Amino acid sequence: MSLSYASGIRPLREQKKLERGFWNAAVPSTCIVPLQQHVGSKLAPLVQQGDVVREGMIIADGPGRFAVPLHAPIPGRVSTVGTTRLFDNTTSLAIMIELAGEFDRLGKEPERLDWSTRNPDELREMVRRGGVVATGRAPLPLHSYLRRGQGGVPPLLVLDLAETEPYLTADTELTSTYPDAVLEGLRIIARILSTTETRVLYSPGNRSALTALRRGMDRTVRIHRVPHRYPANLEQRIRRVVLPTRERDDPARRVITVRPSTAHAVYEAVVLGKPQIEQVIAVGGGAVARPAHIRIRLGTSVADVISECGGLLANPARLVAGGPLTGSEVFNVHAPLPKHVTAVLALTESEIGTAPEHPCIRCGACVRACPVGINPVLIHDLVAAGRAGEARRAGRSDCVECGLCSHVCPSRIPLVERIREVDGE
Amino acid sequence: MSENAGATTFRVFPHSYRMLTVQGIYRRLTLAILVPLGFGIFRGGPDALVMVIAAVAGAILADFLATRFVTSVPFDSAGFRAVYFGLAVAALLSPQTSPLVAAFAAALSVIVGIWFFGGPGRYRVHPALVGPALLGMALPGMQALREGGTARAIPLPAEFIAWMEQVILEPLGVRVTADAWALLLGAVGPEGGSLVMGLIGPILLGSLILFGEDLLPPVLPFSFLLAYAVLVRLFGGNPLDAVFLTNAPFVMLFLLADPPVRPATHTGMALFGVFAGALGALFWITGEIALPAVTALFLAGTFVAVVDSLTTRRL
Ligand code: SF4
Ligand code: SF4
Repeated sequence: MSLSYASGIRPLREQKKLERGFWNAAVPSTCIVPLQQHVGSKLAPLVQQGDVVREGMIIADGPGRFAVPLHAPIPGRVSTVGTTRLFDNTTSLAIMIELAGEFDRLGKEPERLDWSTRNPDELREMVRRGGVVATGRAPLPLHSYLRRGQGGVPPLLVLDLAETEPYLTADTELTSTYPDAVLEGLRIIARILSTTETRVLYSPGNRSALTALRRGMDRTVRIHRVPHRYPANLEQRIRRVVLPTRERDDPARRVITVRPSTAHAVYEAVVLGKPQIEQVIAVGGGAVARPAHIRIRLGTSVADVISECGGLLANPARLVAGGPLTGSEVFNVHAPLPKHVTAVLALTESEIGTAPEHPCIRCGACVRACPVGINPVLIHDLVAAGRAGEARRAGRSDCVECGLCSHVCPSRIPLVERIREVDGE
Repeated sequence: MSENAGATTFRVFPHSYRMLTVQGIYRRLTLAILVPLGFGIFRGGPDALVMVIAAVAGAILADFLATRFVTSVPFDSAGFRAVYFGLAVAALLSPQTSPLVAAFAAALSVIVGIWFFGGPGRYRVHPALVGPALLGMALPGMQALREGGTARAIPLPAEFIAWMEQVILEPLGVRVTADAWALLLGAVGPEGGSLVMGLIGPILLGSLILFGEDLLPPVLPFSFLLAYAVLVRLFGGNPLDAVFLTNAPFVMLFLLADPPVRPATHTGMALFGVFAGALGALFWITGEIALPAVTALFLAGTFVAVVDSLTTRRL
């Protein structure tokens, strides 16, 4: 598998600049909290219609190992517990809360917990109770992700600042604003993993976050720079950068990667006892009046997020939750964003660059762009010919669905979708 | 009340595409190729202009007829594909070529070079090389590719040239022959030369569009040029003459910028560039082939599939 940083692309598309920093968005009068916030967990509501809930109170939990409790993002009364349509038009059980009563935390100085006396299992349970979901390409309950790193040889912990997908800049802003909290969260995670080896990965695009972090960073933390090419943070690529050659292919050598927003959420959950009920997101795209970063309460609808940034200048050609390459299209603006989504984009026609599909011109752009060295056009041809078995042998299982092959294709062939069809056969 | 939440599925699909479409590629190629061609027309005079217009008209007409009667693909007037191929054919012909011959060569390029193979992306040898080659074989006495023409000078002050030699080139130990200077500055059309032969400055200017728009990975022309110049030098030839007195700079930039004619990967391009450059050097040194760079590219093009199969992932 070719994983050098020569593949992938420099983000070519101009992204409309977002305002630096972030502000707290207005607290919504109604919050919808879907019970499905990440892949794989099964939760049951712990409240019923009419119940009064406090800010940060657990409102849903489940017995499974992957279950993460959900908390009330705002104080108020439960108005509905029922099925709701999510932003991508799928459905989920959800709890709707109408704002009422007083905020327990807002504007108050929180008490700090001295976590240094706690053992790793206690800390991991605090992370679980805080409802922390690891942000990034594969949203996972953090406590179960960290379990992978416990026992055996201590893993290498990597703080991944190197987000290179356009518009996914919320973590950079969060780190620049709260570097100490991010670092403390990282130390807590290191303690859970019983590791002393911590690394920071950054790309030139997020140097400001690194500068802020450096002030409070231990000398033992090594810093690795990767080129500003998307995608920078595939697991295999990170291993190539942070591990010596002889250890890269050793499965016993584990690397645990966390994003700054995850480390920050751990800090809040453990030190401040505050569950993950807020998230910093980037709101961008040519159709947004004031592209900026904002901190929202979980359960805030996509429509409220956009109005917080001045509304829309024009009818967007596409609304996207997440980055322009790997995000999901928003079909229901009244639905909230899940915990791991860190951007909302209202893209104009010219930003998308769609065109009718043409026959392949064998330009090879998809082959050069593919970060894992697959030949996407070969898989496409095999799928079109109904030869799914051969398509699988051609590397379907290596595809990380980064979307790059489709992004660069001048013939506008939906290669990722076609490649995914292999699984459907 | 259900215990389990509904499953969320996240559709993965890019919501942003690179600006270039197939149409966009050929529009930009057309724009880029017009730069050296414009200088070539200026140097070649009205005859050259008529020849270029005839070649483009021949290509457009052939593309229209082919798409109308031979394939199910609609004629793409906005795509500038036919215009690019017409211009590429004209660039390789002598400024004195009869307009009828130019139009016929361009039409052959489009019909045989593109549509005979099934359309853009199906061919391996650059179509602009196919038409003139076929014509050369069918009408050996035509000499459209070998006859040089009289030309007009693009004046540059002699003081400027002297200054260049004294201040820049001599300290570097570089000596540019008088012939090469004359060609470089467009003072004459080279004997046996094409419309754009020797127009290094305009060619480099036009190539800025190619590189700026990411149409041509630099590894390809650089590996070609390196192999070509180094081998010519090793065999005792003058690399500057080998560059200025052939179509090498033009073909390695403007023909290889057409995506289907080159290998898919960077490694493949480097291999291909070295192979084509070495062939070109060999042809130049032996002096047996009138058009070393063009012939080298023509022959090397037939190996693109082999290079691809060596450098891309297979089953
Ligand atoms: S989506 Fe898959 S095939 Fe396409 S570029 Fe990414 S990894 Fe390669
Ligand atoms: S990028 Fe598109 S047109 Fe180019 S080779 Fe791949 S599938 Fe074909």
